[in-house]
Amino acid sequence: MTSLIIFDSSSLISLSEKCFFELLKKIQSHSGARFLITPSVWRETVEKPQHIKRFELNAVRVQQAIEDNWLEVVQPTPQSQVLAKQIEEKSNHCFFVNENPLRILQAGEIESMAIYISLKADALVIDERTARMLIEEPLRLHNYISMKHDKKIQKNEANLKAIQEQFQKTVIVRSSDLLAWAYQHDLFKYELSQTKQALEAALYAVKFSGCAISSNEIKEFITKNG
Amino acid sequence: MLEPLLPSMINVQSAFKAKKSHELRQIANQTIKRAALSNNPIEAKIAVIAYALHKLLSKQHVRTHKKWNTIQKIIQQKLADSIQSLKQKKAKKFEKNLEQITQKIRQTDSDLGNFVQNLMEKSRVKQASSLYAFGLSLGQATSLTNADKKNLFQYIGYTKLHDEQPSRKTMSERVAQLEGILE
Repeated sequence: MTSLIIFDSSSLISLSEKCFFELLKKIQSHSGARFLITPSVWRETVEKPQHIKRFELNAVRVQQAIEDNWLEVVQPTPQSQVLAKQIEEKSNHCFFVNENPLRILQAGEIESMAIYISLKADALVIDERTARMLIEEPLRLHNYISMKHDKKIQKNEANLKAIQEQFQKTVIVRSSDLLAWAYQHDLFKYELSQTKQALEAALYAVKFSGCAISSNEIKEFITKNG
Repeated sequence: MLEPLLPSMINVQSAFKAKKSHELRQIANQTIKRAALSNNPIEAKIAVIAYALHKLLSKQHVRTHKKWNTIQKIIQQKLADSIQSLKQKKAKKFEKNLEQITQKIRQTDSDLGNFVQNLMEKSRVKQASSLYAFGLSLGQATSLTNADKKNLFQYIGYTKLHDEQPSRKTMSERVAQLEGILE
């Protein structure tokens, strides 16, 4: 059974910005998994930036990957669209301030989450922090938001529970985790060098491109596995 | 929902007139914090403008430029116009006024800047990063401010935001999960 991996725009931004698309291609061909993106992600990573000279190169990289058929744009289905509405309703009504809902996720992120569920995909690659925390650690996200706003942030327990149940078995990885997997499978030699230094450099590169990974996580991983 | 915006605009006008760059920055910080809760892109835009005006005022080569007095008067007039629109509850006119202020800042940046500064984009990114720090997603932060996603993500990457709340699931655990999926 072919594995399905859904990428959101944040992960493609990190990987394309640091020229890791050839390595990503190697991961895809080595694993045989299908790498999928939604039309929203395509618009954000190709259609919009291709008209801005500063960002055109990364847009070209992503589009080339699609034309070379190792990255696919998957169209929403009626089922995924219904799911997206449900996820939007719940996720953006988990937290409240003075009974006003806090909108924390945007349509593009929700579309990726909905496609993940509707296709019964195997992993969701998200580099930004909020969507991941909402799925994996919603109470911690609530505590974090409360602390940042210095205000009482109310929770809708039913919506939080519904999100947790819907995404209970969701596997979320980041671009950093994909790179680490590639290193462990000897794929770095095609693009960099198969060395601890190259791994560390690659992990910090995506971190500085925005991937939500901490320095401690990187150090810990390098110490154990480098 | 225009009324809540009036105090912010009055404060921006007052701080700009008094040349209080630091105060404009504080107004930007307070306004973007409210925008994170209100999900109001107009409120986010006011924060972006306040921050951009703070940056303009903080640059000596701008303050001492021969054109600056004229530019200041134009911006002050546009701020006054926007406040007037708010008081008259004319939402579309107010949005147009804000756009005019944005355009003027952009033009000033282009005419008076020492480099290609793109002050407005930098201001958007800065305010969007505040929204992300307040717990909004990358997409929601860019949606409210119209900041470029890639610019924002890179900016965030250079901050300590992601070191503040490290993931409880370790990299090793995530890579182990990938083993079962990619092999």
